[in-house]
Amino acid sequence: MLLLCCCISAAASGQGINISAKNESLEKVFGQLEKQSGYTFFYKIELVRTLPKITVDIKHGTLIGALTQVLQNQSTLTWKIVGKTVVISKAEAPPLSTADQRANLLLVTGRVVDRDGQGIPNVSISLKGTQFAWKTNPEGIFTSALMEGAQGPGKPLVLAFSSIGFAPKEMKVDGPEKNLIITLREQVNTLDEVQMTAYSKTSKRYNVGDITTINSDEIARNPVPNVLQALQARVPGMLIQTQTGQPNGSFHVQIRSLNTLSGGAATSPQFINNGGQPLYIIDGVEYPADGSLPLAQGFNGPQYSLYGNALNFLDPSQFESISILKGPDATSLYGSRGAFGVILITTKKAKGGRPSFNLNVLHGFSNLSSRPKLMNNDQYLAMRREAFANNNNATPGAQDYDLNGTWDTTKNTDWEHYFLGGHAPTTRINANYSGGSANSSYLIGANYNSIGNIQFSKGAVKTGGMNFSLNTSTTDRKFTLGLTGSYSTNVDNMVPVDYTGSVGVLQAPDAPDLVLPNGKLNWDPSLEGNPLNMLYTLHNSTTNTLLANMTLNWTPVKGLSFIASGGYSLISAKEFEATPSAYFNPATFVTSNTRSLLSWYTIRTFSVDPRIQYENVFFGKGRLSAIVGATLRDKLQETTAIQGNGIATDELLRNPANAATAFRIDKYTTLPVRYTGPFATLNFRWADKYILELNGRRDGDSRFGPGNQFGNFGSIAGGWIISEEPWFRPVTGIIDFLKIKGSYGLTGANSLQPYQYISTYALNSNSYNGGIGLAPSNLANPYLHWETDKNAEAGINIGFLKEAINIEAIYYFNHMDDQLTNQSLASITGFPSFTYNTPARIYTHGLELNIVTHNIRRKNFSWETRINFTAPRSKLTAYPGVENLVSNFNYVVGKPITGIKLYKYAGVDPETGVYNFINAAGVKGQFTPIFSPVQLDANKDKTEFVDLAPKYYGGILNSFNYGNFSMDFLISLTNKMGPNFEAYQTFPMGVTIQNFPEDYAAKRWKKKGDITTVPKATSNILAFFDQGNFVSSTGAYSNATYARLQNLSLTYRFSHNLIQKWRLSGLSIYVAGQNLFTISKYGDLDPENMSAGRMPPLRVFTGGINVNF
Amino acid sequence: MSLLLQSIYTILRRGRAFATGLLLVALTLGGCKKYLEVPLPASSIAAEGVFNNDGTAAAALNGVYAALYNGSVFDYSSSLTYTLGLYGDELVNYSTIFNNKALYMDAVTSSVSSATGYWTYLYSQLYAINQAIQGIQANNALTYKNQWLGEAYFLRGLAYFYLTNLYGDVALVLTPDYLKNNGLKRSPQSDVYKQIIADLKQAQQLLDDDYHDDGGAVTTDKGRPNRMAVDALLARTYLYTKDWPNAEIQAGSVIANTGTYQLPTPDKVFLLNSQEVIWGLVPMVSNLYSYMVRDAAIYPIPKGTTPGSPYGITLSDSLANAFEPGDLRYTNWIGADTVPASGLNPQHIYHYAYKYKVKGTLTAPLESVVLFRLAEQYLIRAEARAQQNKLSGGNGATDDLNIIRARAGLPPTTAVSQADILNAIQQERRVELFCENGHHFFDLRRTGALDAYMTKLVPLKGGAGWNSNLAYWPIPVTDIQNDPNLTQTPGYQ
Repeated sequence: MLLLCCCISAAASGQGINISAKNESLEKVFGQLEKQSGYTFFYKIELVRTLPKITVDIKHGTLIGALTQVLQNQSTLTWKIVGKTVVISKAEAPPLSTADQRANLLLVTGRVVDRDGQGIPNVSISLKGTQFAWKTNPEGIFTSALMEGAQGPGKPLVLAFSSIGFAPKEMKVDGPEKNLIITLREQVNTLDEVQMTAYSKTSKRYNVGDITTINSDEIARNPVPNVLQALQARVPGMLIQTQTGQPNGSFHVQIRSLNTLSGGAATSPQFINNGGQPLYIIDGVEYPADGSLPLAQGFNGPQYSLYGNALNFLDPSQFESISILKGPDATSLYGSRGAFGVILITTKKAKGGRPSFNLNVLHGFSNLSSRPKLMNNDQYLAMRREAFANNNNATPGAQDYDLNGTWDTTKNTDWEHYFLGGHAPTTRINANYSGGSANSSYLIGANYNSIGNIQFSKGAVKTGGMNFSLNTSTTDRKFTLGLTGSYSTNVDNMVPVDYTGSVGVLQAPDAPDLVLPNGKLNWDPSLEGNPLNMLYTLHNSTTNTLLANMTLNWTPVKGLSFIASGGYSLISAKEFEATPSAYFNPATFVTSNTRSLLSWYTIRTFSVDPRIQYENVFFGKGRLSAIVGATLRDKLQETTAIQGNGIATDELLRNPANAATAFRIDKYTTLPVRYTGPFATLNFRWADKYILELNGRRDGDSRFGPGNQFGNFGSIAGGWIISEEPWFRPVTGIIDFLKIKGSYGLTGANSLQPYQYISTYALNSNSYNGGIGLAPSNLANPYLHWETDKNAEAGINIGFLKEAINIEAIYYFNHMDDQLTNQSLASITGFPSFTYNTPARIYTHGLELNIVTHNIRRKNFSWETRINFTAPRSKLTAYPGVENLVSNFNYVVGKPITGIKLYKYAGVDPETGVYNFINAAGVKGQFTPIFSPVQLDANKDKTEFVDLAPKYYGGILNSFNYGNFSMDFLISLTNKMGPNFEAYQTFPMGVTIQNFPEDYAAKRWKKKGDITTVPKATSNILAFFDQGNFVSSTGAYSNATYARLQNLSLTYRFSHNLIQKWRLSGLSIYVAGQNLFTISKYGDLDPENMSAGRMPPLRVFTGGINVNF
Repeated sequence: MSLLLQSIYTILRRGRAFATGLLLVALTLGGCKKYLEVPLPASSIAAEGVFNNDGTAAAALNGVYAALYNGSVFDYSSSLTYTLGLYGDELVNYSTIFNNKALYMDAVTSSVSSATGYWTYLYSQLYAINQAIQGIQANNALTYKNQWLGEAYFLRGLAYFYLTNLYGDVALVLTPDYLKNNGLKRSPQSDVYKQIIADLKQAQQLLDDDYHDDGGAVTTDKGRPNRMAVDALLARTYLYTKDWPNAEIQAGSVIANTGTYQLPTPDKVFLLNSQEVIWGLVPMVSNLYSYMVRDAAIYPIPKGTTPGSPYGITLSDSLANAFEPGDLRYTNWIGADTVPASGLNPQHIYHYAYKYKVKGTLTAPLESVVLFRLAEQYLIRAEARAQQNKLSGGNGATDDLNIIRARAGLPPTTAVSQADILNAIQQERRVELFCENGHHFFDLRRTGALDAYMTKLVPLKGGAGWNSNLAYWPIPVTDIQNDPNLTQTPGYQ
């Protein structure tokens, strides 16, 4: 028996029933009655369809009267009212017992929504085990009347929800329900994955730009405090590299190829180019994760966190999805701000429904992943003795403490283990509570995160925060209001040191203990200081982050919306650092050495984005969507600092103001940037086959001088879904989906510091003889203007074998002119550089590949693989000189801008054991500076060019689901060149009291005829000359290609029965690890951060539990 | 389209403040130029305003004085005293710091920042000085225009004096136009000296005999140069260029000011505003050692301490031995630390420079970084006279020499011949002016004695050897790369 129910919920009208139908079908009349009465009609569709059309005219009637009138001539039908339902059935059928019906019919109403709480229209709802079925209306609302026992006597009723693009969901119904909220998750169907765009969203199917979206499930698998780590190796076209493994550390992010000179040329040996950072938008508000934070970070040695990253302050569990927008079409609505890509972060939103509580607790530890294995004492001393023997049998001098009897040569300390061998505990807890009704919903979340330090050190980084989301709408849903907010506090009281870069790690193994038996620091002069004195530094930095966003949406008529969204973000931090007397060597300590620094900074951004959105369908086949709006963005960075020196006693150190006025330095700076501009976008789709998108924008930026502030930018994009063409049908089954797309855009970049266009003087930090001092602070360039960035891309999407294999390939190319760059100058001009629009032209291009395969899709077992691959290329195509300006030494026309010019290393001379090089004339020799008759000329003899940008990178993610188990592992792969351990050394082996890696030392030249690349050990200090040439040669760079098990997670979900027994709605336990295993021939350093002086990315092991109530 | 019309109708009919407000905002946001005018950052002022009044004009010059102190050109561990002392024969290195070792072994390259750093630093001051000259000249409203302009010309002469003495031929940057300056080549040293003399003559015209403070008022504080300071530098410049008559005149001009300048006993020479000081930098608040001449912290070795970090240097034995018995300068200006014998090491006496003594947490300066003092002027005049064969008698070289010797408690010189007197003057300069910004190294070079002296000395210091190109230091490689016309100092390619 086929029974269809047409159900539309409508408010009952107090006016009575008014129907005027002329020759209308019964179906339509029932529909009218339903609307006006608020009752649901329940009938077999075929029962009614065959009946003749009727004519009625009812005014101010009752439902019963109307029904009687409408059905008076329909002898085959009979009707009953059961609760709020009108049941119409065949007259000859046994009439439904009224009593039975009252007992057996359950009325269930509710709303089906997506993860953002938006109603999903046309969701199929069926009563399991029966043929009963319903659909949701355009707002996602449904009403179904269920007959108890329909699934067999005593069996519970289960409603099944399904819709294209969403994972099906089932729900048990125990009794009548009102305002049920059912949330459907986007289906794994690759093509219909939601993709966030500038001001709306689209799907992979219809998107003509280049967007990658990572959702919260995937983020949650990474036990890391910064969401950037969770994105590593998951996004084609985006390279993320950890700069330091220190908690609260910084990251290098590069989207597509580097195409700006603004970050400067490659420098040896460390390559960090911070130019061209993407724009970060969290819920519509710009977030300053694109650069280093204005941290004061102390006056003590290494900048341990390398100026951090603002995303360290936001717990990744707050995020619902992250979209990476690349290329002209996706980014052009952000205008110049999006020239280097856009990272769009959406926080978790309130969805409504039954109140639910989710708790996630994770605990684990991290430790050092990779460091060179250094020589032990025997090997070390043998090397040092050999060094003296090689230096004309010199004898150890007064300062060669390791050999001259000062130190106990039988000691053997593994200093690396001593300083960096710890296990840092890490704990993360996050919880959220959400619920609501159809018209308003809420979500409240909280998180806590604590990470220790692996060093011989103390302190930890602790972050805690709360977030909320509220949504409300009028009953007619024409006006909606959404409010989201989050507040978090990050407290860092770690000792501000990175021992990786400290001399301590490379100390001789026979160096004396750093701590004396009495617990005091060993200040023996032979140690030349004591690196552990850092432990006495007082340090505490507290960063508070506030994010708030409000969106008002008014839809007076279908298709037209007025939207005003405004947001505010504020990072405010306080740092305190002081060196008490215990920090200093008591033998030389004077009170004036003590220092105390208190500094504050705030970065405040607010933005307003009013816009009008219009959507309509034309001629049934054309879909038009247009947005007209404007952006206003205002960013202000303020820093304040107060430093006091020579504070009388340690007790007074907490407040630098306790220093005498004469020893205080107070600072205050402001950096405002304002930005405004109107924009418009138009998207047109015809017959779901042809897509055209136009974007336009006029940008004004306060960083340019008068007359140069505005620029006009825009893009055009198109797509053709070939598989929708009728002639394509024959191939369907092999190729199910085929789309080609392309876009072209013109944009302008402005990676520029404020105030470069005017000449300014700043107060010298110190006055002179009682009066203030002023000094020029910049070289002004009033002619600065927008860079021009011409972008194009072409892409193809193919789905094979019922979309079991989906491939997306995008090829991009870009010409960038008028590069805003720091043009380096000879220092005789008084400044090392000034900012100007270089006439240099950079051509970049590259391939991005994203492959998703559903290898196995069975009920109990599934296996999915996601592969992404990127091959970025760049080339400097022209660099004309301007009058006296010379291009940077490392820029070579025809070569990438990420490369470095080097001498050609020729290995070690088998006769003498010293470095050999080959100069431009092809002559091989030692070429010692000053002393050789022929020396290497930095301008002429650097014949080699090594590109330090990756040649390719990517990731392979495998996901398995087996019963209640699921497992995910991500392998990243990067091919690049990088500086090796030796590149960081000022002296070759043997000159100073310093340990070297065991494998490197083992290869050293020992006797005539040895063929090797490692020179002899020597105690002759003049060897530093040759080392200087070596670090500028190809010998200091190695292939740093590596594959890394970036992430592994294994989850067990408890079965439904158990969960129900425990009165939970979900329970799972999991283990997760990060950066677990690396394969690389690179050698002693970590191939990701490639630094001898910065902590490599840590290895993380964790286990956790996730509970849903 | 009908939908659009319908919606506009709806707005008009049921128009709410929200919708109209939104429309207005959206329409006006676009071209708002006014909004893009941001205020200057709180920490800087626009350059146009700096030379419009005396207060900020003086502050711009204060910036240069402060930089010369803070940048350690004349004080502290990267001062000329320190670097030239190691490079020449005044200091012995015990530290393991690479720069110090390289300097001590006379093995500098363009990567030894202690040697190339002055180039960058002094040129960055020259930018500020050239800006000041241009700005002050263009402003007639300044009350003390002559004072400020005179100071600026004097500072330019001073900067070029040290630049040419460190690097030989140097680029003559005389305007702040960076685009033009970036194409300059090195000018011959003779041209540089011409420029120095021209600048100093300008300064002589502009400055008067009084000292002024940064408000323009006359003061006894010697923190800013007066005309005598210009004379003193001019005398030194003529001495270096072997213009003996002019050197005699300029030095004589300073010495004649007996009301202002006299020779106090050696213990008082380096005190703030002592009678001997012609011009010195006044120490100020700094990150370390506020108000202290920082030499006082790095040269003295605590009793019983073996040199090494952080006391990485001592005075060379040859310098300590150069003093005659009974020299008050030895007892006043040189300290000694006796380290008793231990293990294999016999007892050893380490000497250190002790011209500046005041150490500790100060709230006001007690000593100043003396850059020009009367004793040098006597010695310049003595040398100038001796070269002109005015050996003894009323205006003879030995007169001036003996005044210096008498102050040091020594008997008159016994030298008689011109050659002997000239040698006696050099010996006197060595012990009088040691550890004062490289006098001895410069003296060796200008008298032509450098190559022979260093050829013997460098191997003793553990260096690889000496060649005459090492008389001048290399400049930063980046400058050669960035300025197409600039060349490296000969011998350092």
